Amino acid sequence: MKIAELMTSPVVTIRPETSIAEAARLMLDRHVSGLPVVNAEGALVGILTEGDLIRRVELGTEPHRPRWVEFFGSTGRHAEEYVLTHGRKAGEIMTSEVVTIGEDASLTDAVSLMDKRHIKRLPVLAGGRVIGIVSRSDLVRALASLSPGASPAPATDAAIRARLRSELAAQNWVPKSVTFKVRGGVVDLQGVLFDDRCRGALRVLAENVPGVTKVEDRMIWVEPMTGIAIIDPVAAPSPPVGS
Amino acid sequence: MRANDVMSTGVVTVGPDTPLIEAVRLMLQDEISGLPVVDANGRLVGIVTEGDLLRRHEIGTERYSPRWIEAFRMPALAEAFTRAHGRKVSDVMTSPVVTADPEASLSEIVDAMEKRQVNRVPVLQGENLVGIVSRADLLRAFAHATAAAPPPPAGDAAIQEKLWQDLSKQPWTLPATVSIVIRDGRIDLRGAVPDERYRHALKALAENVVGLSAVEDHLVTVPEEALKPPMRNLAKFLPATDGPGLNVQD
Repeated sequence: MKIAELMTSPVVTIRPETSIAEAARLMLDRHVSGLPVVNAEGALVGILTEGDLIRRVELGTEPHRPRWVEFFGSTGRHAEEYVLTHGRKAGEIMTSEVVTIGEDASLTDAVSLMDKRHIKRLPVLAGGRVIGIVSRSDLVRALASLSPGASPAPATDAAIRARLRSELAAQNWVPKSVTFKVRGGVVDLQGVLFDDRCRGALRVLAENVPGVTKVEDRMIWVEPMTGIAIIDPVAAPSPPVGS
Repeated sequence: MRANDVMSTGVVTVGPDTPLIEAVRLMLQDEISGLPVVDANGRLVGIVTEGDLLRRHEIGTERYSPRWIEAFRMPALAEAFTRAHGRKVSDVMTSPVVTADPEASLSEIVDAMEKRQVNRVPVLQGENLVGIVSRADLLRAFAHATAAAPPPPAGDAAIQEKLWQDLSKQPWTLPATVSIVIRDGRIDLRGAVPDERYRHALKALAENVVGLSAVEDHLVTVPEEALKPPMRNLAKFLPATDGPGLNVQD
């Protein structure tokens, strides 16, 4: 799947001279959390997001520092901060270094960029113009449309066994010490784990095999440094009171 | 303002065993980006957000790492597999959750959002979930606050006084080379500033007094050295002004 297939288009944009009160209303009305800022020629010059509007004097959330800290700071920087907390035009408080993406990029590229730069939306550029925007909610929408619907037709135990074996072999984190049995669609996981994080992953893997109705977890976690065996703390019966 | 002034109430929640697809549909249908996860006793045990749903096998965005790295971090890979393939909310949710008290100030909430890189903060009264403050809630509060902004002061003398008051509260100071002319309810900024940041700050300050359309910017930016005494070089940078300081012309 390419970006162009799931981006939101056309995009609501604003100009640098748009007042931020108007921008805020636009974001609330359209249920978007960021607006690309374009100049008179239609070129992208910045982006105004919710994050740019939450450190504001109107909310009483502007940064406060003790006087002695202010004394050491450069007054140029204080002036800059004043603009961000008091400015009234999009151009004054927008983020001008915009992270963008091309329409042919993959979803993985988009997710990696969002992860690395801690951002929630990427304007999509083609020939220097904003042709769309891809946000986290677009990705969630794609996820919803691609998720399998009703559980697939039941499979025979032999088919489940074969599929489970090949799925386990395809993963590089599966401990060799884990075995399984399949009876009547129920997968019984057994063996020894050296890290408890593998437990959830193995359960999820078995649940995802078509035809599996239930997963029983009988795996034992052995702490590798001490050799102490820890039975699943949730499944283990609690010791009788007073013993 | 405090958390309980701006929070959304009647929060949509899910349980740890809710199928993930159901949580996803709820998020899309209600146009919300995060759902608190509460257990059978109503205790908050996690939160599932858009950010938890980005690395999924359905959309082919699972994390990939080279083979030689993989050998060193098998348990982490198992965890990534659970997050990419899990079908229950508890497989992908974020836990523990950053929460706030109903009496928390907005500053405290914004600090927590920026420091912990979260977009919403559930509000707990004791152990009970009573609301949630998201960035959109703060934006809504901001929109209300700007709509209710007081009208600009009437008369040039009142404008001048307000301007002086606001300037004296700032940790940065008005460069002596700037002259501010107030006439007929409009503010005209003239003179020289050592740095673009002062120009922007002065404009913003003036716009906060008289509104966006009543401020004119005739400031020029001059390197700081040129502004130092004896200011030999200054004359050629400056347009004609009425001299430094704050003037009211009639």
